[in-house]
Amino acid sequence: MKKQNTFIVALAVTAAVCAVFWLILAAPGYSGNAINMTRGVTRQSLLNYELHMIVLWICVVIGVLVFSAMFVSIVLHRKSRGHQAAKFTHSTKAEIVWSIIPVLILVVMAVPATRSLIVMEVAPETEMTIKITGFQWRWKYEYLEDDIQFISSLAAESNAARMLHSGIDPATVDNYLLDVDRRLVLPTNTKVKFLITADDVLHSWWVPSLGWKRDAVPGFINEAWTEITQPGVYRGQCAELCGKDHGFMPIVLEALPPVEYGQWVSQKRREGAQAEIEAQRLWTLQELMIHGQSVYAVQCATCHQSDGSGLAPAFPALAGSAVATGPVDEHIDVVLNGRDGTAMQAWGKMLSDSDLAAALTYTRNAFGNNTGDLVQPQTVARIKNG
Amino acid sequence: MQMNTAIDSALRKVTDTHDFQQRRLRAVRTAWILAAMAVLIFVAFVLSGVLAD
Amino acid sequence: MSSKNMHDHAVDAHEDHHDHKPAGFLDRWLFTTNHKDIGTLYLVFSLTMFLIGGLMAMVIRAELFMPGLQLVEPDFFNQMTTMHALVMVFGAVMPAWVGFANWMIPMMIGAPDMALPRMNNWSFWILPFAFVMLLSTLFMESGGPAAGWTLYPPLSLQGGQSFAFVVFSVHMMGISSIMGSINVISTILNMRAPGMTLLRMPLFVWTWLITAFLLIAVMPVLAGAVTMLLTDHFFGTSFFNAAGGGDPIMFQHIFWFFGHPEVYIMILPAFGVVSEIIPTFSRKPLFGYAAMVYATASIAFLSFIVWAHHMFTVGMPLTGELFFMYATMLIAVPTGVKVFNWVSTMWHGSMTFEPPMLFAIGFVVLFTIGGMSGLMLAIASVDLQYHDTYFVVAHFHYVLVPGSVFALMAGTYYWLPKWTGRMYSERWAKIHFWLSAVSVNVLFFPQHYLGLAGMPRRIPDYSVQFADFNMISSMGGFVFGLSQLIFVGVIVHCVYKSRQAADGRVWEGAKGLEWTLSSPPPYHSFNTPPAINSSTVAHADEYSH
Repeated sequence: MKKQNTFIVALAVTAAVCAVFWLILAAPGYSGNAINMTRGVTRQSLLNYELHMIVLWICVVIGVLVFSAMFVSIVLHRKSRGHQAAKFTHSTKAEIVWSIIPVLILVVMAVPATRSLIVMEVAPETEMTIKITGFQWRWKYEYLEDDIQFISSLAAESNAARMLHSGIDPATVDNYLLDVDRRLVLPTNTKVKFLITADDVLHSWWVPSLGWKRDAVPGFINEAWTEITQPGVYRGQCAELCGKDHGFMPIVLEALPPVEYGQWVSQKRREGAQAEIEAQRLWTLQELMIHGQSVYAVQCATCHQSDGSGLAPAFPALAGSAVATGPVDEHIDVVLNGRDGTAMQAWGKMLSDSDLAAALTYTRNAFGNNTGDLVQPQTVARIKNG
Repeated sequence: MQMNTAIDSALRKVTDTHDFQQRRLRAVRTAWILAAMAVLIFVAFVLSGVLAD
Repeated sequence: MSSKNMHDHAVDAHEDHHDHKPAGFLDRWLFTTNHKDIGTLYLVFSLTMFLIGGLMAMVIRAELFMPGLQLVEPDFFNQMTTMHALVMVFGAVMPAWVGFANWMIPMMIGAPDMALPRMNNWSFWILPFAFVMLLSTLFMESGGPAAGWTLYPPLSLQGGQSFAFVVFSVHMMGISSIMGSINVISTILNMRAPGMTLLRMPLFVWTWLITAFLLIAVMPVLAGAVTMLLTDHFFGTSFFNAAGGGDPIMFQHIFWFFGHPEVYIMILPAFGVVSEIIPTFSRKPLFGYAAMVYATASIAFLSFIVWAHHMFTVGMPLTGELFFMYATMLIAVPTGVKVFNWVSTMWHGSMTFEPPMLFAIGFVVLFTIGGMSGLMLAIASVDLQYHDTYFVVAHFHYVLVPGSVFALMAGTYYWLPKWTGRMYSERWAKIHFWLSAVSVNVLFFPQHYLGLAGMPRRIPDYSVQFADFNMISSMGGFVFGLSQLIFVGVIVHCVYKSRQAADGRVWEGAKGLEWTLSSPPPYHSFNTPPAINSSTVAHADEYSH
């Protein structure tokens, strides 16, 4: 008799714990945390949300039925209540029924699942194309029709706060780890095609509000499409493990109404033209050092550290390094083309000549390297073009 | 248990002389066949990789 | 020639059998050919690995306790997630099931020992070397593997010198598993007592027979995949390198052709154990024995044609995605049959709730939750949202921890008195159950929310919007981790301290050949074949007619 009471008390306690846990923590109004899939801002995301809810509720109903049967049995058919065991060992009828009903439920699920998958995968006629390339650990966006391209990296503020023992409270950083230096800007109500690939390892491009993710595979190009219905800023992250900073390559997408988007495109083009002029002129050491420090902080410091001390053994120190204090041309070559078999990437295809020149000048003169060398954008361009 | 009379009557018919020794020898044969299977699968997959390359 | 040698060895092994244990420590353990001693070695090894892997999980949960990096660098974090998975899958769960197979299969089918006792010794003693090698990589200059247990190239190829050690240790684990499986199949097919027909075998034996076939079919595939990685890394081939004409996605196909059957390798023996325990404590035969066997076989078959559901985001053709989606959804049918049959076994039983039964019931409920999130993940379209998020982490931990691991604990509490001849503290075992059952849900349930809200897996740090649920999950994790020390305590107490003797039957409702032996059983289980009749057979096809 005593044992039976213990069991009931224990069961009740568990049930109470679960209920309290559910009520306090799952009530979104209390915690402010999202607990469900987003409805998103595309037809695909809405279809997926609805499909998710249909399947979830079917599972919940089946679960409630099965578990109720089990708990009824646990409460009533106990030896301590004097219940005698029945002798039945099978029932062909029941077994046929509970094989066929699940098949029917699956068919019911499969219909919307198939329809939704076709919408995901079969792209309609699209109006513009963005090529997305994943790098360790940043994204490159190319607007194929508009000749705009840029690299999008983790915002400097988040990057500083996320360092081990940084002493910065993440709660004080806006959109901690979900903010970038340059946003991907897209027009609303426009069918956009994405061509997704990677340069080094696998990545996966995922903005939950669009309703899908797609792997970026080096050497192969995957296609996806979207049509965003509401202007706004939508955030996501790389979803495929891609090395040490996998958690630190966010995606920020800003959807603008077509008119504003047009203005953004022309502004970007003006900036591009300006950058070309900048790349033609000679820079002073001070200009290169100031610009170089900011480029270094965002692009290089992740591995080589902001004080140039590196992270042994994979990421060598730049302070006093043979490359950074050696012949200029070899240094430029390493930065432009990367080092095979290491995490050092070919930065030539990611950064502008001015950025490269500035970062090179900075690393040759900071951290006590004091070579006094000055690398001009023109020099970088000359070596880049052989 | 009455419901089990089927199994009991079926078992009375078993007249197997049980020789562990002989069974172990048979087990060794089974083992070689299974090992060959494992090696074949390994070779097949690596070969398919080589051919696809 | 070599086949002749094997015969001779088998003969020796047989003639060596006396009814007393070898005297010296080395003779007893290092050179043992006894199925029980080897089973014990497997179980002790697995428990050790469970604790080491658990420690790594504690590092992961501690770092994820709050946003920001407090304890470890991201690269070390990735080494922890990778090693945690490799150690738990290959070091804890798989060897534990082989340990159970070694202990129980000969006793359940009425055999004196496994069919190939010397190979049995080998298949165990390879394992400690494999894992010393694997764990040693953590102390190497380049650090351990950090590309996830799936070892996807090209990332895994960026690993340093430790990569070769990882590949060789995977080879050794594979060889160990294959030898273990060959032994299990040879034993079951050849060593059954007269009258122990296939359809009278206990379900645990059935599920292991099927598992062993799965292992022999897929471990060589994994070996092939990692061998190709090895040659890509060190010998300049380009199986998976697009620049050299290879395809990184090809690795994923090969890996998951191994990987999906692998997850059933970890869960099928769990189905077997639960199917033994529920009838015992319901005092009622298993409902639908034959259906259970056929359901297990169908699940095993389906496991070979669903692998690409792990790859819905890699850019497969639409028809491929549809095929893998439908095939995956089908698995719900035989799995459902199993759950319904367990509930029907309890229905109108005469139940008691000793620790094994508690864990078995916990298994049925929580495994079903994991199975349902699995069904959700099968829907390819929505998987484009779920994939690689914490929703997936929650899903597979539900099927592995309160699934496989709970079944392992249920099995331990069920057979421990049989193994040792002593009763353990049921009171502490129950405390262990309740702490584990509550904390495992606090640990993994909020991870569903995290995944749905958009938190990717395998990240060392996260946006502050995920902070609350991560903290709850970590607290659940710490409690769950500490509760397992009770498990260790109960076992150690039972083996060394307990004075309460267990009789042969141990549990009132227990049926099956193993309970006809004394507790602890004689060193060579059945030297003469036992009589098979309705009082010694737990299940039989005849019962369901």
